[in-house]
Amino acid sequence: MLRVSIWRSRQALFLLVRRDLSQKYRKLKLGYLWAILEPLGMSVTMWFVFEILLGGRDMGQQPYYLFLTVAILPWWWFTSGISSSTRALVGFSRTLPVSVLPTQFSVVRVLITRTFDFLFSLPLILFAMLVTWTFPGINIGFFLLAFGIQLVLMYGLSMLVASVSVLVPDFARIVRIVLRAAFYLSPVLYSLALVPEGARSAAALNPLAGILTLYRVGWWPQEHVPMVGYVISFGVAAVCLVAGIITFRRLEHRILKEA
Amino acid sequence: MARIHLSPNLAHAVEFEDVRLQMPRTRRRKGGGRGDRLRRLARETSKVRQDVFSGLSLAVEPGEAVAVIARDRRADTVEFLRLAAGTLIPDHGHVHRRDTVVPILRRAGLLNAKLTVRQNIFVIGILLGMSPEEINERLDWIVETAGLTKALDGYARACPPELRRRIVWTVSMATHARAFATQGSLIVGDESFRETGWAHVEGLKAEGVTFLVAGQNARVMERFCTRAVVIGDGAIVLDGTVAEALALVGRGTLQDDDEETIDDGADVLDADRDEWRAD
Repeated sequence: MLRVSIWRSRQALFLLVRRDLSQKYRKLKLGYLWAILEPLGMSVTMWFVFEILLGGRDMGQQPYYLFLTVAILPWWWFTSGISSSTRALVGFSRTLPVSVLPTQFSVVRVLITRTFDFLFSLPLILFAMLVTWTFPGINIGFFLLAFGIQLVLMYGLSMLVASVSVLVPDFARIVRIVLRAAFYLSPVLYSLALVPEGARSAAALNPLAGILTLYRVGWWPQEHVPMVGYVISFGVAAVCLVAGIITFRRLEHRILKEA
Repeated sequence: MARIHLSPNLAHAVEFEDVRLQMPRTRRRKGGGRGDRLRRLARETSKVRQDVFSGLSLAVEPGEAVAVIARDRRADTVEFLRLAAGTLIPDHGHVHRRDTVVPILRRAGLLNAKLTVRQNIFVIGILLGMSPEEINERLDWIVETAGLTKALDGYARACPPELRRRIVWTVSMATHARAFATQGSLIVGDESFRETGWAHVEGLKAEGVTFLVAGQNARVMERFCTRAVVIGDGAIVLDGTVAEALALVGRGTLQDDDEETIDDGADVLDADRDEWRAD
């Protein structure tokens, strides 16, 4: 039912996504470049701090700049997607009473816009590969898998976050804190292999741990974690999806009343 | 999961089946205690759940034009129309509908001042369930009927209220829906446009399109509606002819619903404005 209803309004969805994207970059002098410049700034800063300033500490694989870039882009996608989903339904509340579109339309729209932002920023990885002259092997196929799993995870979390944010305004702030904590708790700056043996299964509970590792194995096959780790990570991602859909379904009638 | 379920095999156009609904309503605090007085001073309000409908059942046949009249407060008719269109889900019971019921509520609020008229037509069309292709196809009809030739690429801000009403009315009619739920927007505009409106909606009624009409004056109701439903105390007080309903509530209580605001704020197109704040 969900698929059908969103699918039926797909043309409208893509019209609005296209407008979101063009609108976002049109007003800026550097336009599309900002899709790249912002994560570039972040990865260069991190690289400078951890490689040059605190140099010599083993945080992950070499070359560290590429190692960082491969994880920072998906992280950027994740954090911007989830934090903008807190506003997805709130911003639309005025139109909900008068619109025959599915309630989750705006959540999906924000998610797709963010996904395109991520895709636009991918040339940064190419740039990092050229700068460090490191190229992936056959394992790069896992990159696509990671992309798919992250999309599923983000769909579930966006639905959850968007619907709760309507009913509990404080929730958006909680999400911001959690996202900031998740940045350090996820293996963005470091490799999962550096987590002490005892804490590793706890770390695997973070769905991003498995996803970010999968993004990296194309370049560093030794980053692969044991199968159990992936199973736990992606199991949690699946739970997030189900939880998001169920929460949304249960809260939908209350969301409509708030509008 | 879709909030709007359609049952194509339903015998009725819309059917309410033992519908119960509670709505959160904002209430100013009453009471003489210090806490209440302080909160009132701070303009703090509390939300109470209030019964809007308690066990409402009704079937509307295809081609009927039903006047929905509130015995006391206007708000209940909006909720009735929203339930019919599916933009509200009842706490208990079901609302079945055979085809999409297009809601035409808060019509002026639909327009966005910062967008051009053409963009507004697309936004409203999308909200009412048309695909961009369909809107493109029907754009000529919309422009011609609403008389927008000059205003099409100007900002909605510059449109006189008269024109704004015409835009929303024409776009909603362009949906070619089989059922409409309208609050004060069945017949709009100046004298000449009202003629166009009458001809159009009466033509639709003859074709078997269903109408749920609220927020219109007694004259419009008498001319157009074939049936009237009076709502009060969460249930149907009267289900009969328009004349009976008017005798119950009094002609004078029915006024055209004429809100004239235009929306400058958040809207469909600017959902994602502070994207650069993501951290």
